[in-house]
Amino acid sequence: MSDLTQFSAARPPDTPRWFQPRTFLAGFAGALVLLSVAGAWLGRQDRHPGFTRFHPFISPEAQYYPTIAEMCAIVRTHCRPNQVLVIVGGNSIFYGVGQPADKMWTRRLQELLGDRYCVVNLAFRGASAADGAAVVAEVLRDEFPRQIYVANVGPMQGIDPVGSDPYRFIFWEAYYKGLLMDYAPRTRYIAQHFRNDARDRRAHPEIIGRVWLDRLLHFRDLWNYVTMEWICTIPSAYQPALPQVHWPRQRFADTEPDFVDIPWASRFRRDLASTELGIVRGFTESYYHRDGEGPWQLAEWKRKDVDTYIRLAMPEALRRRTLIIVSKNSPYYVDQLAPGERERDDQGYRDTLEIWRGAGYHAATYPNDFAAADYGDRTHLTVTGGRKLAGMVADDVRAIAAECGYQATP
Amino acid sequence: MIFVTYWYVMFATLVVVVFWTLRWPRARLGFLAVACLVFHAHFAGPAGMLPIIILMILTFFAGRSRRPWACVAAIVTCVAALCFYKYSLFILGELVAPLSRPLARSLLAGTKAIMPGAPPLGVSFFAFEFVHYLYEVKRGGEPIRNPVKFLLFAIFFPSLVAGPIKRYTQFLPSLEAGVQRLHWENIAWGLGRVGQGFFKKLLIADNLTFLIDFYQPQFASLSLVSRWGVFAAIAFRILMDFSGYSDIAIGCAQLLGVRLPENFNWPYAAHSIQDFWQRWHISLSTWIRDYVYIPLGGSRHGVVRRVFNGLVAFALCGLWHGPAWHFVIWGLYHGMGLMVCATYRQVPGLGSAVQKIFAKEPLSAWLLTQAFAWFGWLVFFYPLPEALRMAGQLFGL
Repeated sequence: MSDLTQFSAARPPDTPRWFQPRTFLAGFAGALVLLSVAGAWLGRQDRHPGFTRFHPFISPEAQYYPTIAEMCAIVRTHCRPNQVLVIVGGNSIFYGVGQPADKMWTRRLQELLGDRYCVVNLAFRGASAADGAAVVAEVLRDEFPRQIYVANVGPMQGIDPVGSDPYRFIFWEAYYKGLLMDYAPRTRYIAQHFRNDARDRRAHPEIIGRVWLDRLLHFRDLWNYVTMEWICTIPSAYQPALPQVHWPRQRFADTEPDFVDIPWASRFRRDLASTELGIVRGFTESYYHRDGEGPWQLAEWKRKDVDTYIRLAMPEALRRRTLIIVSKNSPYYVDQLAPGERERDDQGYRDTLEIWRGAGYHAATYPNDFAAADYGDRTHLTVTGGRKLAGMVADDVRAIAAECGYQATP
Repeated sequence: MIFVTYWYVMFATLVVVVFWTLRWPRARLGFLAVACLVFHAHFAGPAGMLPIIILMILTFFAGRSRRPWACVAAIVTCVAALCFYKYSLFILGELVAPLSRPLARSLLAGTKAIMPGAPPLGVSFFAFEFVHYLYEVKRGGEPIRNPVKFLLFAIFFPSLVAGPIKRYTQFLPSLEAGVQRLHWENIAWGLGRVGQGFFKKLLIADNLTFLIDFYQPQFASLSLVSRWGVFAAIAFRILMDFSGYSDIAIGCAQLLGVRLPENFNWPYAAHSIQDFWQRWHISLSTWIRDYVYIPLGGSRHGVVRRVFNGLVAFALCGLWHGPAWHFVIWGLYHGMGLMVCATYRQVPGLGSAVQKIFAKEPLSAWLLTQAFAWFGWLVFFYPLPEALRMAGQLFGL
């Protein structure tokens, strides 16, 4: 019976003498407020003083999820509002895989553009043109009204307006915190996305819950600060490896190796040649047909598909300041295509450029002077390739700046 | 895990805030019932709720009738539902298939056709709590007459996912007292307990899980010291993980003024296997004792029957954790340990000698108990051949 008496007490079980409920509650509430304020303040500080790009140790593959505030703080540290902000997004090609931090192509782009412009590389490996960098650019539209967004896509590649996994969290944070432009077609698409995408539909309450709680408590910025400066509490199965998993992330530098230090035979492996060639063909193979020896025709559904998505991804006003580069595959593989396949490949690039331009974007592809030696593998560029890319992008950026009337003052 | 979702954190916060702002006890009771329904609907979905609602109605009315046959029928239905949802594929695949493959195949196809993708959320907890309730009512206990209170006993959200397994004789007085008067101590104590649970789960258990997942596949190539490190990590991971969940459940309930039974009491301080089971997953071990071991005859019919009853009870305890042989083996392993522990004193010569050693060196009893329990975790987590291999490798074999 004494057991039951305990349960009908309506008070907690015996607590230590030193435990004072009211003091504890006051402390709890005070600590929560204090930590939230600290999170909000830390979010505005640049925690990446020597930022080059989101290298693998400070990216989702290492369980590090940068916040919007954190990415905006990087931009604010590096750039002045009177400069033309050039935000670079896209995938590993624009991230600069195979290019060491001091030789990466965006550094060269900055040199070519000069101090009137400020280039920030926010591309992630495996990301799309609608991921992180695109979101940050949109969030900073008023603070940096003179901005140009540059990203890469593959031929016949559209973009999902809500970004792609595992970087979609950046879009959701901006969207549910109300940081993006009002754009009704995109809003309608998001509603449709949650109806159609079973995984995101299941995760929807979690996505909203995380953003709402974070808006109130700023715990993600606080935790990223702890992770950068003190200890990483959430280990990643990928990197850094044990025993470094808990090391503060500031101890890891951008150590991207140079392609030239890797032997050619390892980068262009014979045993993978047919697979790589299959990937090159795959960009266009399924979407084109032709009658006999006639010209290659793009399937209408594909054209419509790409066109619809890229229009949904950005409001028209933002498309005008966006440069999309359709990245090419290495001539090492492209030259191995049969003549018909090669024609289809070329047509694929022409059609992709036409679709993007038709939707109001600026679009370009590499000029024909990119040689096999400019590529580190099938698709990534070496330092020399990066320098060529920087050269062509610089010209396009200047043209867009002139067209948009960006009169930046040094 | 539901407790470590943002949805749960927001839901629990909202429920606690509204609960504390309501002025009337009946309103608090009603609100709590609605909140529990919302919680169950959100995580279980309509398909997961339906079987539980049916079992709930059946149990409520069977209990209210106080007719022994009705209670027995409802107990059988609850056990059958548990077996169907959780164990039917295991039974058909492991027990029927060796006897007749075509029969097992056709039964499997039929079962899969009517079975949802996953068992209803918390079905094991529901079944155990309903069986307890019906058994006690059949024995003369007072049934719950208020349907709202019964609903809360059945689907009280803090204990719905990972227990502890409640007793209605404890839960009801606590619920009534909790909604009647609010005490600030509950908020402070509950928050502290929830924080403790999250700390154990997120900071300790999840990091140990990472460590184990990384090192276990290369167990054989590790140094002897590292192997023992992984072995200890396995033992502490399950303690931190499970007791962390229990802390969150108990803390959340206390925030609503409801006291749930404790589930853990420093199990790795136990000095005997009996002591271990009085400290580890207490709500399950006492349930097994009260509703399986004692009804089977307990220790009342001689040593052989006692051993048999203990083994059956612990095999079921193992099976409760999941439909797999290694859980059954783990249960039997502990059943045998308990039997040895309970009977070794009767072995002439050896019994008294061992007893003397334990009395003189209590550390040896603790060491033996913990070694037994920790080796048990290898069987619990890994298939038997791998568990035995890992056990051997701990000694350099």
